[in-house]
Amino acid sequence: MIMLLVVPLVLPWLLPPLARRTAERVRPDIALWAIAAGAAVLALGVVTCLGALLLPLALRLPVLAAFAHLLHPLQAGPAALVATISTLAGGALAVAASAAARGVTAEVARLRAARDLVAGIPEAGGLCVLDDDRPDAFALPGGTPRTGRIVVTAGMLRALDPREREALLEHERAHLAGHHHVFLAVAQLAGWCHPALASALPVVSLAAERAADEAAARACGDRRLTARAIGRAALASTACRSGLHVPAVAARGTTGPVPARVKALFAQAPVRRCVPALLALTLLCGAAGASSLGGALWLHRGVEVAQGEHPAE
Amino acid sequence: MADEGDRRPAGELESSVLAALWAAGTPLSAAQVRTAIPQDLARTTVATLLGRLCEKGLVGRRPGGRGFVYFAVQDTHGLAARRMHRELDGGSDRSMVLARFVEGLAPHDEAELRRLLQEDHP
Repeated sequence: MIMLLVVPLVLPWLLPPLARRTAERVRPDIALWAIAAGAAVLALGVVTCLGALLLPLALRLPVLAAFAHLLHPLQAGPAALVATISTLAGGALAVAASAAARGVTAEVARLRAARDLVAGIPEAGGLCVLDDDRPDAFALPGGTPRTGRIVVTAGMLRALDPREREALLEHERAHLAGHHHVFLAVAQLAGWCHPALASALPVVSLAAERAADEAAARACGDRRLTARAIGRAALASTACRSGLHVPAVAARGTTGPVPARVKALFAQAPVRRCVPALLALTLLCGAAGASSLGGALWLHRGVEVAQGEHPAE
Repeated sequence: MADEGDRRPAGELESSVLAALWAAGTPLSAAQVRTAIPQDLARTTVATLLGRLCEKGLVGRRPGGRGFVYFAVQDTHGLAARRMHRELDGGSDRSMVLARFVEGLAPHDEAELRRLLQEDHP
């Protein structure tokens, strides 16, 4: 029965392939929602199960056993197996917690620094221009879409023609209006909980960009224009490579995010709301939730027996 | 069609004008600004937008040619820009929450992208 608590630790490995299939086939804003929510549910399952698995080991300590009013030792299965799983769970939980703590601190510091810097620059319609020749642009989330800022360098504005500049601004407005940073933050948090969820991060990031691209294309009324804006901005950034990071995930033979976005804009707008992969994603989350819940109930009953509440059958 | 842009929120038009002035890099007359933005705006609208940007201190103006020319006001020696660059690209870990418009391209992605753009514009 302890396996009920182990299954949710394995299920996240199914997320990356399902997320990729979902992102390829469904409307990007829906894909963004579904994949980020899926990652959040699976991460919650992982943390719950790791915590529950730690319990048998913790309750061996006389202090904690007395605190939990245990009359008998907790029976959770073969002692050696339980001890091994329990110890591994404790280690995994410690690793995840420290990664999350470090990551959150760094991210909050970065956001705060960026916000402080932008606070000193006057804005027009949410746009802040940095006097920098290196082409770069991003959306800096505020508390509300109104306090969010579009930060663009002069180099980026010079690399684009007037209509392409408009596509860029619409893309960044869509990030702010859609609260995309929340989805990215949730996916990032989930990624710290489980390595499989971390490998789904590029899919979430691409879905957010695709959603903003589609919104920009709708606002400008021209998909090809939006595609050209992205393409020319990327080429300009690459020509002025100093300090720009090439995504490490761009493995050989796979198409990186920018060509994928351009290709998608040259094709027809995606309209599908539901695909089998999306249903499978829902089932996956349901299975992880049910397994965690079943395992937790079983463990709870075990604790009650150890407390002498139910006579052991 | 002079009112095409007027339906948009004033803030969005202001940002278009500001972007155009930064992209130009040299002072522009109001008439030049009007052609450097994608929206088709009335002359008076452009003048109002430029006036508002001047009030906010984002845009400066000086006499030149016939009437005024306008230019984007740069922050002190690009200080904010350099500090932002350092903040965002400092260290190996990159912000996940600040979604960049584009990332740098790997060489095979660059080739693929050039091919895609060429197909669009043979």
